[in-house]
Amino acid sequence: MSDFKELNPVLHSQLRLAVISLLIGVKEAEFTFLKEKSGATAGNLSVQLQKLREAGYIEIIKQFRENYPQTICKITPEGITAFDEYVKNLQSYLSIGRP
Amino acid sequence: MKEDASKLSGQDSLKLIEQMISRARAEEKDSGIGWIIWGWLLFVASVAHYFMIKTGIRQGNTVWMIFGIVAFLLAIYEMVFRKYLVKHPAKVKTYTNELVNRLGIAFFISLMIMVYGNYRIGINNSGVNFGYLLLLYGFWMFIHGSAFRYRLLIYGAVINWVGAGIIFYFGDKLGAESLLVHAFCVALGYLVPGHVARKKYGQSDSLTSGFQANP
Repeated sequence: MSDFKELNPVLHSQLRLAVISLLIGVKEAEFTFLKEKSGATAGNLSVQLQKLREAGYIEIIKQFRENYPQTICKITPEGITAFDEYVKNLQSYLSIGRP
Repeated sequence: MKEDASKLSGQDSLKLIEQMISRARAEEKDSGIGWIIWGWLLFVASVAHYFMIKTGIRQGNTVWMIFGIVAFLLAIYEMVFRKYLVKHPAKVKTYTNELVNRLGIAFFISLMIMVYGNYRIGINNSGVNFGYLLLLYGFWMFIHGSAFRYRLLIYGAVINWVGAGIIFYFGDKLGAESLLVHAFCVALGYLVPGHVARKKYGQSDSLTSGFQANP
């Protein structure tokens, strides 16, 4: 049990983990894409995106396209590292639980 | 936050990660429309040119000139104007989509230079010319198909390469029939994968059976 590392609390949340998992394989995604794929409400998603941004895991770009506001999210190199570590810790956590 | 984390078990996390990655990956799909338009243009031009030769009409270059103008205008529309005219732009940019878009640009630049080169060195009216074109199509289709894990396009690439081999084997002895080989390869290589992709694209919908996450 000595090599068990605690899971990153920023990522160990259902919606934040979903967002990071969606962003890990794409270059960038619009807010509406994240909302649609995660099934979250706009308000909840905004709050969780802000938390991920504060942790430095994602970059949020707000711009206008054809007079409509557009929010684009990108995972940062720190976010990729954090996700990678989270998955490794998760795997070790699950293997510890096995007989 | 603590309460939220406690509800998410290790297995739940892993399942969630897999689910979200596969949903994002589902965006890496090909509508097939590009293959259909390009395929029909090539097919009609090849068959029209063939029948013009067989009926003694010596205006084959006109067919390809019209084809070139239409293809050029479509390429300009795709690269410059589409983003201004299409109301619903892509909500996500994937690395694969970006790669294949750049591959498409490289293909058209290579194609234009090849057509110009063939014209300059005088093999534009030779059947062998179509062998080189089929080689280039195969190259494009193989990478595009591999990037999207779309086997029909990979098979299409193989058909185009076989077609190129046939044209090079027979050389100028094949004559106008090289146009039919070209048309046949285009129909199987572009149109079949294009229409199948179009059908699948229309059937696929967004996965909306998401979850309501805790704040």
